[in-house]
Amino acid sequence: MTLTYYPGCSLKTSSRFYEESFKAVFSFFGIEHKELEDWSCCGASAAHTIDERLGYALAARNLALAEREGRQLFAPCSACYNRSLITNKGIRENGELREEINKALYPLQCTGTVEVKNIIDVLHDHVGIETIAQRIAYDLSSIRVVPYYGCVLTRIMKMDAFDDKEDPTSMDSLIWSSGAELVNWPYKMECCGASKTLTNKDMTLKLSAKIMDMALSLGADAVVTPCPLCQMNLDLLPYLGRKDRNLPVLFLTEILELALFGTLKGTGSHIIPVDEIVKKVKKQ
Amino acid sequence: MDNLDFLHEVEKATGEKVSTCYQCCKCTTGCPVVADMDIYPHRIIRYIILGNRDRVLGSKTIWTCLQCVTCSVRCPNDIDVARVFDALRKTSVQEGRAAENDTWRFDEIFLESVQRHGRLHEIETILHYKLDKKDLFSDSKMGMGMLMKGRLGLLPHNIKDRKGMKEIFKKIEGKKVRG
Ligand code: SF4
Ligand code: SF4
Repeated sequence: MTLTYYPGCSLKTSSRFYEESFKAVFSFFGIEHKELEDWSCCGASAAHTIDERLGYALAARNLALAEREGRQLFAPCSACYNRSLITNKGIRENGELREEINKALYPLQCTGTVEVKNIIDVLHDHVGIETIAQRIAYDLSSIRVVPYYGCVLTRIMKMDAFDDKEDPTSMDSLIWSSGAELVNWPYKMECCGASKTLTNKDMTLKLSAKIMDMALSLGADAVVTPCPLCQMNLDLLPYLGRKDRNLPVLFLTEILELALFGTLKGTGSHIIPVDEIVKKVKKQ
Repeated sequence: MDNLDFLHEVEKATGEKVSTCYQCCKCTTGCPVVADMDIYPHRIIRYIILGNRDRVLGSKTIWTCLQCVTCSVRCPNDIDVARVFDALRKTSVQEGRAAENDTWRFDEIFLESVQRHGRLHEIETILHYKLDKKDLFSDSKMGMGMLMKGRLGLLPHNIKDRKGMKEIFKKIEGKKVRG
């Protein structure tokens, strides 16, 4: 089976190396994916803030395109996943909304029937932790990592989420299967400052620094996250004015990349250097 | 003597049963930005019930909120507090009483870029916002740093069906709120 891949804006711009990373991991495990033809922005947090219906319409445009492909829609960005999931359900269950949005989308049609999947879902469903554990070629046991989910991936109201809204564990098990040392911590879901990076820099600095400080105090070597916005806010800490030491912030698929290949494709894209952590990787 | 109009207005706009709040403070306790708010989240909910429209719509709180949804998932009465705040922001803009407009302006500029290209053109959006604020250089070090790391999209990503995209905006625009 081939997944329909919805990159969203960040996997083509600020987090391009996330795309390179998941592609390396997917192709290793034989997961095929095809980029959604003529996809557009899902509206992120901006559209529904200004106008709820615009938020639905923008996300529904992509869902409508995906329905023609008739496959599972894979959205690696947490915000895209969140908006697509909410919109899909709204369109499926609320006839009035469906009619209104489809009028705006015409000639496209959205019925809310595509299956929306995030990166953790895909790795669990299509690879599984046993397979990952069997295939790893590098020893990550000297690397201590904290799993950082961020707010928007599992905190989705009025929905049966794929994991617990307050204490998710699905990414933990994937990290564990990579062989890295998993550190339990209280900040799995702490907010990084979300989209305030430009409008209120000090707030993002304060919130992201708190997360970084907690990770440092636990003796972690890296923070691991599936979310492009979380990765960016934490990785920007040196530019946001933080003077203290920072830990590298890896994408979930990067920790798998290390376990499978011993290197990172996106080394040069990280603002907080990752060399130290790559050096810790040993051949099994 | 009670004026329940505001409560009904908010409940209707959000579909949330705001009136079930029993002031347990759980929303406030978990909020990561409560220190920057002028009115605590549970007080906002209380003021809605009491019909204190002016205080609620003029509050800094609804603009400080990051929509992290911590409050909503923890509320024992299943009130989506974040969603209520989101709706309050729209009303406060509609009535010209927004205590802060940076967030709103940024979102508008973001959407203008999406309307034009179909996808977000990052550098255009950032520069537009900074010009708007007449503060072009404050984050230039951050901008350069990101550029060097290949983390800022320089060129626009136009979709093929730009006409269709403009149509979507146009069809929805009619009832759009303006800041
Ligand atoms: S958590 Fe819910 S019930 Fe408790 S004070 Fe907040 S809104 Fe009211
Ligand atoms: S959604 Fe807003 S009010 Fe609720 S906890 Fe997050 S920042 Fe605080």
